[in-house]
Amino acid sequence: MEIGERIRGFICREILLEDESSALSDDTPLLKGAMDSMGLMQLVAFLEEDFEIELDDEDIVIDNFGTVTDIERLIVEKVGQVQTQ
Amino acid sequence: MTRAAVRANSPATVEWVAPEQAEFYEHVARFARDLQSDASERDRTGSFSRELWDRCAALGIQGLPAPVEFGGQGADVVTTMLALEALGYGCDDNGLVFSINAHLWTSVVPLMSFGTDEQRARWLPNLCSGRAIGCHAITEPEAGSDAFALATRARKVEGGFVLNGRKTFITNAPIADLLIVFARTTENAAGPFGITAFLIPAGTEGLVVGPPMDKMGLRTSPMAEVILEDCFVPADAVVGSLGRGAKVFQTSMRWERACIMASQVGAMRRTMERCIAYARERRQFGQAIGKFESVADKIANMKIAVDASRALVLRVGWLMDNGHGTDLEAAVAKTFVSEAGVRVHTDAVQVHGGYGYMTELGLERALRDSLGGTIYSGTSEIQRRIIAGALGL
Repeated sequence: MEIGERIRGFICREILLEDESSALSDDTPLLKGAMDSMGLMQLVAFLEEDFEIELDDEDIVIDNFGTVTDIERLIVEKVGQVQTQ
Repeated sequence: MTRAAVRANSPATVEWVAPEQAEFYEHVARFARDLQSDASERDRTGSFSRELWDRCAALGIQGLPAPVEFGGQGADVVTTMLALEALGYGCDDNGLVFSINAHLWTSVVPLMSFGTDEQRARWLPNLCSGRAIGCHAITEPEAGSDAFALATRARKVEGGFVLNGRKTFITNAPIADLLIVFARTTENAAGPFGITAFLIPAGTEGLVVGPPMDKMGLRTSPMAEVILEDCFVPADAVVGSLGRGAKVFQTSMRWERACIMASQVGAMRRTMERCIAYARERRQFGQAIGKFESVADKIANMKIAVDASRALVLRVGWLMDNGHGTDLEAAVAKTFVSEAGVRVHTDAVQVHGGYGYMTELGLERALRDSLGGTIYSGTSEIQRRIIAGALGL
């Protein structure tokens, strides 16, 4: 499953409690009402566990969590860093 | 003992409480009844009793859930809740019980959950023994229910951080030896991230505790503003990870919402039993007032409130003890119990009529104390948002 699809699936299933992943597009703004603070904390815990990465303080910024596309870009970068270590 | 008294008194009516837990409940309740509180007088002056605090500490209350190796009792969540219910039942100094709860959930729990070995070794034994009093400081004048919108900043400098900001409504601040202060360490962080928890001993230069705040209820539990003016803390003052203070705060809230209501259950039970006794003894129109349906119904509703509240609270404890999430269940319990507490105490004043309205009986004080429950640890409105969100709304 693609990274973006896994992220979208988690958000829909666990945070928005929606059945259909299509309810959320890759460009839906996440931080403007779609997700509350508890949802965001759930999402970060999921990303760290599922992708076996560690997100630093500087990673969890608005620019990296605005949309699924933003998160996917961050994860690709972090996974790449883990693989090259 | 009368049939009614047996039914009202027995904690064993909760079938899923183990015999040793019921025994512990009775032990704490007996202790609490013997505290002989002068809470009514101290309510007028807004005075905290260090003597009663120390006596509770000697019993082990202030370290109930903490590991034995750090001076705690190593109690599971359900046992902790039962002890706090018993304390709330036996002791009518609701402010003292509130201060003990605040100490447990905002200093003992975060340190035992997130503290480094050094932090735990230095602070937990003193916190558990009651020699040190703890609190946390997150709420700000412009960041109440929206707690993560805090304006307090921690600037990284060589060897540590410098904090600036103003905190308000900080329970235990005037008597605290240790504060866990939340401040933003990263700008542009998403949502609750970029906030860090710092462990700051009272008396640290730049940390100023304001005068005690005058409030409606829980007046024997001191509260104040905390001002941070270029307050330097070393790098090892960080509790948990940098930028992950929200997790520390959420853990405190999870325990607090679940457990602080246990004491409220005890207070409701105490009030209900007073009403039963009064309704059986007080005669009007030639009969005990408890024979009037309008009075009996109020007390019957109190019994429903006590039993339902206890079940909701202990459900959260069981879930926590068994490693389950409790965001929804704790919000349900917090909302129900706090609102039931207000109803029970309002009805108790009504059942006692003019006597209930007088300060002498302490019922109007209990009503004022209960009102705080719908506000602290997340208002009822916030709890309903959590519940609705968990339901996909």
